[in-house]
Amino acid sequence: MSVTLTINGKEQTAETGQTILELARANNIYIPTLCDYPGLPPHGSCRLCIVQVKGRSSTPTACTTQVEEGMVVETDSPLVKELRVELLRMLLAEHPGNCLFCPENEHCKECMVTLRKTSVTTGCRTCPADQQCELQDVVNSIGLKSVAYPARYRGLRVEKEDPFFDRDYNLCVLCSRCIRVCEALHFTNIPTYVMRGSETRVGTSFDKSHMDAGCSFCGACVDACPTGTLWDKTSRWDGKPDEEVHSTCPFCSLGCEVSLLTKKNGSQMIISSHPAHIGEPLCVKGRFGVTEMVNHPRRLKTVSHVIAGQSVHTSWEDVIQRTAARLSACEPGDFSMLVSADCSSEDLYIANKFSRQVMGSNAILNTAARYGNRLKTVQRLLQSSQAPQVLENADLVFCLGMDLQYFQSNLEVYLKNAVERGARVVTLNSREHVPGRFATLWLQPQSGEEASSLDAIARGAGEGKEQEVVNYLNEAKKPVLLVGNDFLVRMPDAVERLVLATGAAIVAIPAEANLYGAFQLGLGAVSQQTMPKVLYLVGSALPQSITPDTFIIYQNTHLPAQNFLEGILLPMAAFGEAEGSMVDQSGAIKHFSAAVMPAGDALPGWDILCKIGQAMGKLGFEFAGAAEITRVIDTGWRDWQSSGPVPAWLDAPEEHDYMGTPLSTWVAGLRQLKNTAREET
Amino acid sequence: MLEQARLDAQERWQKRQNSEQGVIYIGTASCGRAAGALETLQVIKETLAELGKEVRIIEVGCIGPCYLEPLMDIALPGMPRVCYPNVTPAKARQILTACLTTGDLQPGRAIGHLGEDDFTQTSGIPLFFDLPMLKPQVRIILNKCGLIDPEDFDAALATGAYKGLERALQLGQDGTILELQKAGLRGRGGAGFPTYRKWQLARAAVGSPKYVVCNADEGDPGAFMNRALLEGDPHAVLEGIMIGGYAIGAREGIVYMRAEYPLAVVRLGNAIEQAYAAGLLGNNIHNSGFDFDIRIQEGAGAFVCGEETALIASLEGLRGMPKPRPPYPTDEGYLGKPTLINNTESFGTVPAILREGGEWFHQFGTPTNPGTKTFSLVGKTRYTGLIEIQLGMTLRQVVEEIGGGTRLTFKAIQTGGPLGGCLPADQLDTPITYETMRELGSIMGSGGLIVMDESTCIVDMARYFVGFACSESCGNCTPCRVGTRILKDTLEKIVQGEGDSDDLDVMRRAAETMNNASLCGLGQAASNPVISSLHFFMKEYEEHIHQKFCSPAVCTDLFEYTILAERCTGCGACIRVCETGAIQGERKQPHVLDTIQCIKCKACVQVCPTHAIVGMPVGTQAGMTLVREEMP
Repeated sequence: MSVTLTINGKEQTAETGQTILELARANNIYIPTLCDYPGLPPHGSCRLCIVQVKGRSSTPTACTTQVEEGMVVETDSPLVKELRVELLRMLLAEHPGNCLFCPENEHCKECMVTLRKTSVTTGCRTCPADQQCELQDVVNSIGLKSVAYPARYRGLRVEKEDPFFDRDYNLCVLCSRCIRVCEALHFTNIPTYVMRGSETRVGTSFDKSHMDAGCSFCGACVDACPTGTLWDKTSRWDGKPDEEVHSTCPFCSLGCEVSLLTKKNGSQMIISSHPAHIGEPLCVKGRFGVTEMVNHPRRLKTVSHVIAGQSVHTSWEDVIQRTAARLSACEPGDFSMLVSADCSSEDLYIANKFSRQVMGSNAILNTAARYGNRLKTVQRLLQSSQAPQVLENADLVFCLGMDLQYFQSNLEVYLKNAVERGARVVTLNSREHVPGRFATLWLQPQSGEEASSLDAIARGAGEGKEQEVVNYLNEAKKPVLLVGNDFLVRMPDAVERLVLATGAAIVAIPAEANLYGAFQLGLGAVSQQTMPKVLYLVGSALPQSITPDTFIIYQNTHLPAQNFLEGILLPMAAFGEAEGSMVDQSGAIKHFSAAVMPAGDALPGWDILCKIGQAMGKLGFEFAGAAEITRVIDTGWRDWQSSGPVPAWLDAPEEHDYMGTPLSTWVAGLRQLKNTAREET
Repeated sequence: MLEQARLDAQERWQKRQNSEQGVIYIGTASCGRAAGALETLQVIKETLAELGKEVRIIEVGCIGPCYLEPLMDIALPGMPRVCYPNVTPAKARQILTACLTTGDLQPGRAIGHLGEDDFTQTSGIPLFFDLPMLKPQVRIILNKCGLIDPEDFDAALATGAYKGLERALQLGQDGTILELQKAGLRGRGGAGFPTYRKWQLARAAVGSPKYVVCNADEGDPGAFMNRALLEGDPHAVLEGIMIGGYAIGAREGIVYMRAEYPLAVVRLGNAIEQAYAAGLLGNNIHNSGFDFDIRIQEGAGAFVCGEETALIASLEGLRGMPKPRPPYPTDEGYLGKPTLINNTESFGTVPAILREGGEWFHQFGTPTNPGTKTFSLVGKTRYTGLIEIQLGMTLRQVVEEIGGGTRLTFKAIQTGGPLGGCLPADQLDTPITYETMRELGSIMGSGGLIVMDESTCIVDMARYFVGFACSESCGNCTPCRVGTRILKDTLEKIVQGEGDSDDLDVMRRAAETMNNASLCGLGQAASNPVISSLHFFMKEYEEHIHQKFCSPAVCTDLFEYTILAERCTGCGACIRVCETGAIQGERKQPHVLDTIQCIKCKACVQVCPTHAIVGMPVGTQAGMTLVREEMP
């Protein structure tokens, strides 16, 4: 139904249920707000959006007032303007205003003067949110020039003990977005109101650290904060980004869309990664893992060759020739190539092509040892896997080993929403885990008994709680199995039997970002059991069992964890530095963008391999860009082949790795989490 | 449905009241206890044991006049209850001994009796309800408070409890609401919204189940209307809640009560148990087909939880913070369901309306503000206590007739508690109605009346109330959280003598902004004490700011004591109480006060029989001429 009303003297048509604020925005009428946030219900606490409605004695807030037929609204009357100025002055009486009311403010913008006695011209940086602050925007739009109320500095300690982000509640305007966004995404309040009256502030219950309070560090509160109160530790003083680039998180197979904020002036870098869309959060890895990984000092930046344990810097031309020469002299049986499924499809395609066509052997997935002879089952499960959105219509969600405390914490909202709409959520997990807190039923077999429990349910002959799950599965019309990496690795066969027995939809989430793509491109394991003489590592760590005489071609983003005696170091572009694509756990193709130039001498993985292939005189490696390879892949290069026993010398790397190395090696905060995380076996 | 039960109860109750050796009644509500009623009760028991008398003791609630507490009634066989005020343990022993051994009623000590007129002539004791404080009152809500044992179900039933519910069940849901409409009852929480209208909205609201919530989170400083009612006549409140539940089609009632009212919690809890035992709560109440349960939920000490949306949040286990309305609780309240929230007093008034009829209730008060309302009259009046008056009575009648006036010159009356306004003497002829209070920049509120005389500093008073709002704000919306703090800081600055003329502008702007832009009633009204005192008592602010002088001698930084030689009789009383030896002087000679040694403890002011010690602007008088040898 639509209603007609007047805003600022102009007649407008609106839908019933729309708020005055929504209508004003749709008609480009500016009403300042601070507590309003997309996806959250109206809250009405900052009061800045007050308007005048004819016939009402009070001044209602536009965000909480719904349109009515015949309403006459003034968004900019003298009274409203005056009240807004006073409200803003009140907010600023408790918010440090040096970024707004500095006497040098105007010149600062022009000349960027500094108080330092040096010739550099920079502005003072007193707040991480300077030039990115919604409060600043509101002040500027209202044109406020002074505070005019007795100011108070809260004098609170800046809270820095938690990983990833700092909290300076001296800057907080109590819009409560952080509180409400945490509630909306995790159905809990890690940040919440503490104290009352004029001492009210945001904090955690009983003043615990966020870590102790159970925060999953998804960073949604940081993204929601309109001021500099909550800010990434890593980008705290980086200033306003120059550019925003959308890409896909490379840290697991969910393939969440991320937005990378970058600096282009001066030294190029990614300063932070954020969810690409408000309301579609990332987990801690995507939100806080990117920057530190990409900008880590142990990035492999220079081309070198290693002789007797000593690395010698050289040029790409030289190293390509050396590599080509070494590989040309290599017998097919003496060569192996280990490839990470974190690489883009383009890298994987070229790597496998190189390995097969140039060296005569299949490339090996570096995580193949995780799956062993269960690789084929995992492939089948993955082929039928769907995107998590299928959970939105499920009437029964059966979670197998989803911990969700930190990693993939953004899936929690699907499960909580399922519970709220009355669907059943059943979890099977031997340990404490997040869904266990609100699940309808938690099956808790002893560790190691999970497979037999699954089989009992698949047979429809369980005992006690298992029987209840069987009943639930029988009653369910749209059951969905949510399978975490743990179960895919350890008992894919039991999972498959359950899928076959129940006909449930499956959402399988392997840890490797591009495992689906790797399988499509024919990567897997091979039958070669002996340690090869030449080992080409693409985004993979050195196997523990290498012999000193193995020639290592180490192509990776970061320096290797241990040294080797003979070989080559080839710097590869990391995430955010090269174009490409990946295939997520549901088979959807996602795009990687090049937000910044590769670090140092690094080149995209495919480019290095193409160069070597060409140097060896092979045809079929003449690609000018990733897009050309993408086109080749898209024209039907799918074989899902490749299987055999896993070589004995191959290690099974731990779950949360990127290019063969645990992410926590590069990301300090993740190391802090690791000590408290309930590791999945 | 209760006829037989009521007859039985009456019989038992009569028997209990007609003891062969007499009955002693003592008011042991929280107020009585604070005045020492439990100690007196202990002595009464001991004295009875010593005298060997088997006299029944009945503990009753609060009858109203605080200044008479502890209040003890003695009803000798065949005689009415005779009331004795301020009964200390020693006094209790003397009175009891006299009454019970010789039958001497001690008319000199008695303040009134609760019997018929002819007893007045025979005994020489006046009627209790003829006391100046009580005579102008009309007792409908409080008609049983202080007269019956609130823990005695028979007493409640015998005196007409649940007759209103019976009538409501006969009238049906719409009939019940119609009766309220005829009565014209308006919300006693202070906003004055027509109660029948709220009930209609809740009845018409779509959603199930529906809830009834009784707001017993009385948090105003110096207000105790609800407490007295809950402690004195809990069944009246229960009955009102049940009638509300029946009328809107709810089956559960919740009483949200201040945890700081432990005795009220116990007495209401006891009443709920009695109602269940009598089949008045539970399923299919007396075969009427009406199911109803009531439970008590204690608050956690937040003033803002008296605001209905904050109260609901608190009931749900959340932080007590108001939400924007609409949606109103009648549509989306407790657990998102339609919820009827009324103040304790509103519910307490409902049974009488149903029992006696809406027209009957409407004859009291004024046509637009019908009925009676309870107020707690505190401060500097001669008589203080809980009063019930017809709306439309003037403030002057309340202060001068019921309160007996003030000892020093009347200065102001704060109506509506800490969120109300402060009205001066020239507004005393204002009739008390929702509208007139609002027009004067004050509110009716739940019924706190604080009377101030010339010894009160208005600036200091405003600082106190704003400080209260500042610490009780929920902190959610900007104008209330920051505005109260700005007002408090500015007023503190002024009372410390650091005010300047800009401060008045700062306060005015902050107060107006809070008033217009706050989310809930607390923030909107929190600036009332400031706005109204700035309006009516500007002179006092200017005195503080420009002359740095607090003439009532309250703000310790803004005055010095001096002894007026022309008033001083040289009695030496002040010298004896002065802890710091600041006063010296010969007997029968005017004394002198040393302002350096004086710590302004006021001890001398309180003992001076001639009011010779007065506050003067700092540094304007010769107090420092007193030279002492030990000082270098």
